[in-house]
Amino acid sequence: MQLLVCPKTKDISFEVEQGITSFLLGLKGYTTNQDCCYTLEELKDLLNKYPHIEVFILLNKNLFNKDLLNIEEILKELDKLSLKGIFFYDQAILSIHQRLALKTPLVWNQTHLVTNYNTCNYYLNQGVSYALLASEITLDEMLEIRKKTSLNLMVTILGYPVMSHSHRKLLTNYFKFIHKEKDKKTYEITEPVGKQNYLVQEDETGTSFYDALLLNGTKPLFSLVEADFSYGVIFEKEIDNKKLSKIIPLYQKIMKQGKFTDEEKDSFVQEANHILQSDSTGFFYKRTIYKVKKNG
Amino acid sequence: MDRIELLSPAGDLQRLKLALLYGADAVYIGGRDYSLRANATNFSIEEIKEACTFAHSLGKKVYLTVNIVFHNEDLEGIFDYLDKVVEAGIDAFIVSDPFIISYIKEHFKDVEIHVSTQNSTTNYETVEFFKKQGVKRVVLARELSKNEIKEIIDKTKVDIEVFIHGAMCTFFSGRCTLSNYVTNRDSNRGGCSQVCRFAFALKGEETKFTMATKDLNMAHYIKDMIEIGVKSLKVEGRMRSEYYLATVIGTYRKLIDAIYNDELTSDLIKECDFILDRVANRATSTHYFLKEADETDQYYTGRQELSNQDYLGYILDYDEKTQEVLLTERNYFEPGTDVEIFMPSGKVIEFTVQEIKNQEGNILDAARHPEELLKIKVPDVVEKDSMMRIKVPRKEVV
Repeated sequence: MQLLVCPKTKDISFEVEQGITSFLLGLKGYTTNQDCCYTLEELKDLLNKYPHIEVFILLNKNLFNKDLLNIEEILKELDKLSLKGIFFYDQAILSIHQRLALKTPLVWNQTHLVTNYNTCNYYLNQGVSYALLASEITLDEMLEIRKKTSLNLMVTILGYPVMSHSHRKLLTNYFKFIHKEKDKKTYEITEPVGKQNYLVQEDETGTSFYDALLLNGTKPLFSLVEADFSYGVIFEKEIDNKKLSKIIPLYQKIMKQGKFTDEEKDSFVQEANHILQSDSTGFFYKRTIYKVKKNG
Repeated sequence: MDRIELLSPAGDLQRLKLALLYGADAVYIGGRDYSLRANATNFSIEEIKEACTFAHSLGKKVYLTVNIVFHNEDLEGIFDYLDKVVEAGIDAFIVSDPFIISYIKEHFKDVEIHVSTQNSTTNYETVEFFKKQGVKRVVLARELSKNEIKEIIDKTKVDIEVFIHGAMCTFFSGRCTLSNYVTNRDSNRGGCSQVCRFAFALKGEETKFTMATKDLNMAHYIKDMIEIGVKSLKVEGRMRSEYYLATVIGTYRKLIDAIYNDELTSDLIKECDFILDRVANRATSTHYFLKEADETDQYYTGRQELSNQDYLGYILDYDEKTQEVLLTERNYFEPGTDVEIFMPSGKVIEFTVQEIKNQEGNILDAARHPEELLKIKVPDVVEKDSMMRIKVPRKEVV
């Protein structure tokens, strides 16, 4: 298992210094939920500057008709760059990829929808190579998927989980309503009953909401490594370098060494909790419910 | 040329029958499992069979939603379930998780596959992708404009279904798990707790931050939908009441028929608008159809969801001899109340209630007990399954 880092700035020298060799990069105009996106030219420059790194491209916005002509040309260009893979949300990318018989491996990345092994196998049959599992399923579900599909699997192990994405400009609309200027990148909102905080950001693709609890996937990481998951993904957005510079080596050690005693695992988890100042394991150990009354 | 389809939701057998009687060409329903309205009453296999028999006897169709986003644990038994509901007679599956498409394609040649709006399909290439998979129809995302819908239809020739009425998601369907994070209820498996309708505190601001949207109402643009080649017009609301469904479906039926019969007038649209506004408890807009959705399509602090008591009774029977209807009371009314009865055929009669009798024939000073069986005299023949509502002067606003 390797770390795959989605950086928060275009300058990846810090991550390279940390020994990161796999990157997930946004592409301007076709990526959502990310602060930093490259143009095609910037991407080419980066690949020239860092020829030893492997790069996945994140194309995760919902595509509209007007996006299609450009995206076809972009996919052709990307196919010449020997990328490690392309993350896709919209099946239009899969469709174009199939139609043009492109070579770059695809990563099924429908955020909250990557939740079972049958659909993994469906995409495998469509020629897809990887899947980034949803953050809303449990570790047990992930491990079962691992057993029942040949797709290469990725799991988000660190980041502020994206909860929802709207095409609407919800912050702009709100500030228009209260006759004020929207002047920040990230806003914090609080839910009235549970008093939990959430983060809201808006860009040209719409508005995204994030959990303000930093997902700390250290505890499940041991099982993911043992089960031979391909990548543990770090979304750096809003995480400072001080924390990253401490947690990355810890993750690298876990991934390299693989086997640990329970005491050692506990010790790693405690250390990670301390570094990240968060012990939130998201849904790794928490099942969601969906029927709140008996139905017939 | 095929006429455009009016597609109604139905949360149970009673509402399914009413929706079809009031003019829906087809209904979409959920089974007890695998449907995105996990907390609606929903249909057992026996009820699905009865629903299909009833619909088919009227030359109409039943579509079954199997549109949850499956977790591993939901996979057990799914294929047996699909076999059973096909045997029960359903005409199409509405699916979002694509692994089901292959199974249906392979096993049931005569059952259509419709891709749910849960997939948030927003472009023609994605529609083409599903066409190649054997999909007959795609329910488009609600974020599309008229021109975008038209371009998709022109380029793909796939049957396209669009929403025309009802509640809207704030977020792309399938791209929202607020409910999971805030209330631990899985939105993509039918447990959505509608967190988008909560009011949040926004740090540094006094005014609550809300993101709730107004409902959708496309009554003015049905003609446009027909002209651009939309195949099916979908009304939202498997958890809506019988009165809501009868009113909304009956109203759109009237509009669609008027368009095809070249009888559409501004007065009719105005009247339909009024009826649709009365039955709703939220303001409405057309959202993305004509422009990018903006602040005018949303609700902010201070909104109220008002429910009126317009619905007075459900007509069980009409006695030609006594010219009386037998009705089940729904809300309070009294002699002297101006009412109208609207019928499955679209006919409406208006009158003033003269006398109210209970089943024993005793005269009552008012109808005070919902569910009580009552008799009142009416000035004309009334169809079974009609509904009585308050006659509201058209200038009044809710």
